[in-house]
Amino acid sequence: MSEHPLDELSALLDGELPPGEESAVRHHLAGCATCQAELSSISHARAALRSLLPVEPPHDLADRFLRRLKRVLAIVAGGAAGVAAGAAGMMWATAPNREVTPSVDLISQTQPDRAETPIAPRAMPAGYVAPAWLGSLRRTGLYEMNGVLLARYSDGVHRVALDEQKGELDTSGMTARAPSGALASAAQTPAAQVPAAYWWDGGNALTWQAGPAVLTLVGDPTSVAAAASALPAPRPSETLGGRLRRVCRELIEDLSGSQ
Amino acid sequence: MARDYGRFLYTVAYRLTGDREDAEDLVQETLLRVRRGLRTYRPGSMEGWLTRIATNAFLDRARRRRRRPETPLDDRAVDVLPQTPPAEDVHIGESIGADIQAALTALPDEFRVAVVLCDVVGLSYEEIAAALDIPVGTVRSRIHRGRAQLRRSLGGGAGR
Repeated sequence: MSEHPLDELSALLDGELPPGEESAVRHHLAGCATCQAELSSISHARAALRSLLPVEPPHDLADRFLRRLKRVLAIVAGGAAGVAAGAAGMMWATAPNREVTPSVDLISQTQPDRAETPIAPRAMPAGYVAPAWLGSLRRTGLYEMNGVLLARYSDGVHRVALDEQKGELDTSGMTARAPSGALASAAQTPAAQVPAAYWWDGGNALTWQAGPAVLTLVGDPTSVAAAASALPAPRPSETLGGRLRRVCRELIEDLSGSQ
Repeated sequence: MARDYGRFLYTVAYRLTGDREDAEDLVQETLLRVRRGLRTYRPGSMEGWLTRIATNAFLDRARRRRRRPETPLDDRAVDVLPQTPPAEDVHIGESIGADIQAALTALPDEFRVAVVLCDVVGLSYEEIAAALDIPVGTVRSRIHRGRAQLRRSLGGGAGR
């Protein structure tokens, strides 16, 4: 390497050089005082830039543009969900009818990890397929398989997962599978729109029949209650894509707005 | 969630423009484009998408200005716009690092964009190349020249 590899020095600092090139640059660097000085100089500039703090939007702008951004995010999330569901060709209304016994284990597996990173497709429960756009949503994830809708929402305050499928609720299996949680009465139900709901799994799960579907929320009781009030009721005629869109929008709007 | 993205987007806009009002304009322009471009949204990180749109809006504006330099504000505009923000309104993120921001703002647009995307947003060279539609080799060169020039204007040239 006869000339000074100046452009490559920044790439070296950033770990952006291919291995072969990196060893050549390091070899040159070892014997070149000019490049050593340049490297030290740009590493100072790099450190200075990386020390810059986030800038808070002015208050008047923040309100206006947060509202708009929220709408945009909801549309983005919903639009992507619509695309995914449309590709699968599933209609909510035509999903098979069956007896439904929710499984907390399965739903819980869809919970995001503590670091609040998006669920990677590889973290999906066995048998479930994550649409490619899942990684683009930091706090809301939605996926479906054979008419079963699985959703999760997570932020600093709320953390909840939803399982929704068409069918008639079969509560007998629930007690058997959740020995810690006797079914509680509907009187404890948080939302008026949930006329007959069952708290179970020690208060960490709530299941109810809503129109054509059985909905189950899993999470800490506060998050479950918040999500239960936020969830729109399923409409018998809506497509799964439409349902995904509405669930995502309502969860984002209500739960992130309640902080 | 929206608040996080809001802060993120405003920070990118402020680092690119170096000015509160220009940053607000850029944020508004970005959101307009986001709405218009919803159908073009493709899977990827939300930050990456917002950054790409904001950066292109910024570069478009810079190109327009080069073609048709803006006349200085007329009296009417000067009356309407506050020249300096109220002291309590200045966020700590702006006051600390004001010298770095000044040096950043002095960089040519192309270098500034590359450096902001790399060191402020944290995109990889490949992501920057995709966002700006330029070869990775060009990204490498712009980042390096941007940092070198920034270091000189901060008062420490190469070799010193």
